[in-house]
Amino acid sequence: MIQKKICMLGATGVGKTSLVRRFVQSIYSEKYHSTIGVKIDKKSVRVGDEDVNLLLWDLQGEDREFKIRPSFLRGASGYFIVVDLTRHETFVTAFSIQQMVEREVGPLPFIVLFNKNDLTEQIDILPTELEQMINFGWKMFRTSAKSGERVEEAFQKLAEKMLAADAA
Amino acid sequence: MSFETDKPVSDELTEEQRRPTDVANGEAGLADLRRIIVESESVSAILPSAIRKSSRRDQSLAAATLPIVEENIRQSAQRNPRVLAEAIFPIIGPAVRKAIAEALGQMVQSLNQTLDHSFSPEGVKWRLEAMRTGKPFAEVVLLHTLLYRVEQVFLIHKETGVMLQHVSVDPSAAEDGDMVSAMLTAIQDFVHDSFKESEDATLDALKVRDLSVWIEYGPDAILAAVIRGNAPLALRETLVEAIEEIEFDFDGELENFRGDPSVFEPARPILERCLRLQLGESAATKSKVLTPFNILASGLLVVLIVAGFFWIRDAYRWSGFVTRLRHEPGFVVAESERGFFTHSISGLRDDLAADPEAIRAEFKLDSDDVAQDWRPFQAVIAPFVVERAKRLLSPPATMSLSFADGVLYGDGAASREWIAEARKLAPALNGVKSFEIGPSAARSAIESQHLSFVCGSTEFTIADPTAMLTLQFEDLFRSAASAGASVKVEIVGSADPTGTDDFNASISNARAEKVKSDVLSRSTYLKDLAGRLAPVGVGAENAGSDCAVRFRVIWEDK
Repeated sequence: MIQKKICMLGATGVGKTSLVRRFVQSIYSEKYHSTIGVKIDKKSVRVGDEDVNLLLWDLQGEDREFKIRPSFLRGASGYFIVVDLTRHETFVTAFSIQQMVEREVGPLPFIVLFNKNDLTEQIDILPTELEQMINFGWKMFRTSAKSGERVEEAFQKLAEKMLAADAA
Repeated sequence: MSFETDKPVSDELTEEQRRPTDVANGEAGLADLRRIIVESESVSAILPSAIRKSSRRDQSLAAATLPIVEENIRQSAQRNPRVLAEAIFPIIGPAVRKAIAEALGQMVQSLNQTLDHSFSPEGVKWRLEAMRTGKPFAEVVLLHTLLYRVEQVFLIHKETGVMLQHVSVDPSAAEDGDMVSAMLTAIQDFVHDSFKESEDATLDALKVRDLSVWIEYGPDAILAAVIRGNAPLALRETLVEAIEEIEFDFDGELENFRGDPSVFEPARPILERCLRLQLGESAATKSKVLTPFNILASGLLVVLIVAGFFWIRDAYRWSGFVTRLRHEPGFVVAESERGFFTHSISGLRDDLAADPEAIRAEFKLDSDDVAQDWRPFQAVIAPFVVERAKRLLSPPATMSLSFADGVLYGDGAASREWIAEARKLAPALNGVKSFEIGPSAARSAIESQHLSFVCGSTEFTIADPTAMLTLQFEDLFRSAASAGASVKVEIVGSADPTGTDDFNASISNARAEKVKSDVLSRSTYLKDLAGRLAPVGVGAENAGSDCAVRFRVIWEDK
């Protein structure tokens, strides 16, 4: 079975671990646990007629004091950048993270996940800003780890993108 | 563009220089010189590409230049060794450092173990062994203490952290290899980043109690061995060899890895070679269980256990047999001896006692193993005395016999003659001093008495009838005393109806008094009990009254 390393990146508290738990274990907990360093999980998906084993590296969220360790990105075949729809600053962080990854490991398939889509009242990012991202050609999903909205689909999509990049 | 390669440039120049120096010649020389310069520039432009192509095609260029390169290195080393030393130092330095570190590590490890065991009881034992075998003490210590097992080996892709292959001693107990591999890589990256070490500084081992993970790095792959116990540093060499072999065999696959680990399936035998088990002393001795000495010793032990079982069982039976005979009525055990094969017992036995052979059989002792010697005797114990008395006296069915304190008691109804006979014969029995009759016998004997008088007088019709009566009275009072009862005898005198009532009353009373006084005069024992004899005259009150005296016993249990 093909093995692919995927990194979960994003600002702290955006729901990276919750998305992984939703995807791998189909559960969600309101309790917040900050990830220290890295947590590794795995799940396999089927792309076409091929099973792909995704090794999910859930990295510690980036904030003012902590920057993502580039060495953890080494060998990744793709990555997610997770943004918290209710905190505008995490949207800004997404850009800097994307640039850092391009700089450290080169262009890789990635998807931006706008998480916490269930908190519709508190959304802090304007539709025009989202359009700006689409204009960059970035693929993105509005997800909710709480309801499971589009989580499976996002992982499936990234797996497909990674295999397509391999084939190219 | 082409040029002559078989004509050395330096030779042409020398030839030009030897020509005459006229103008024509000078121009020609200049032209040649220009040509040579142009050609050498062309050669320098195409040389690198020509070398690349040649080396790609075959090894002929390498073979052609090998002697030159070797000679260059030799000359360089002779002229100025420093240049060469400085050039290869970045390669030699770390290699030497690593070799020295491992050698020192091994030495320290053995030294630590030596010190640990120097003063323990095992240490003393191993010291003796070292003296006996002539081996160095440290070597003996290592021999006994090394006990480890390489339980799992992971082959990990260095860049991605993806597990390429995994072998385990117990496949069912294996962890999730993918995640273990990724986490190991993450830890390595974390340590590397956190402590800002140089690029070639690597995490060599992780340790949790007696479980360690040893990691060896190749350029593209990582080998991680999970080891339980105390492995020697020499194991590193095995791991290094394995990773080198894998790097060599799978060079292309590692470099172009795109996430499919199945191409590394052929590397499994190399990894399996790393799964090792080193036995310590305790485990090693297990394999030596079936030595001739141990078999003989075990056989002997089994024989001893079986013999011991039979010996103990026999001892238990014999002791039970002897104890039983000591408590069995009619036996007096004088001597008993338990031998290894046969036992003996001797003493006295009443012929009325139980059969000793039957008791022996009851204790499952073999008759051949037990020698018995019983001499006859008569045991003075109640059942036997009574039995013998029965045989001798043949009591009537209504009479029961008992024995206590040397006295044979008869109780119930029996003829006066039998009682008189019993009194005579009983003392002939062993242990019997006298015969006494029991309360009910004594009572019935007295109440059946009927002493006749000559009518109108106080004279007995027969001579001296109170002799037997006295004895019967004594029997009655004695048996009452031994039974703890209070007894009183009414001596009832009567008369025939021929006289007047007063006369009859008086004479019947006189007759009762006469019997009492006769009895008392015959027995001092009865004198003390005179109050218990109550003479009563009833005249001729009762129908069919006659000239006689009768008796009524009043028995009161206390």
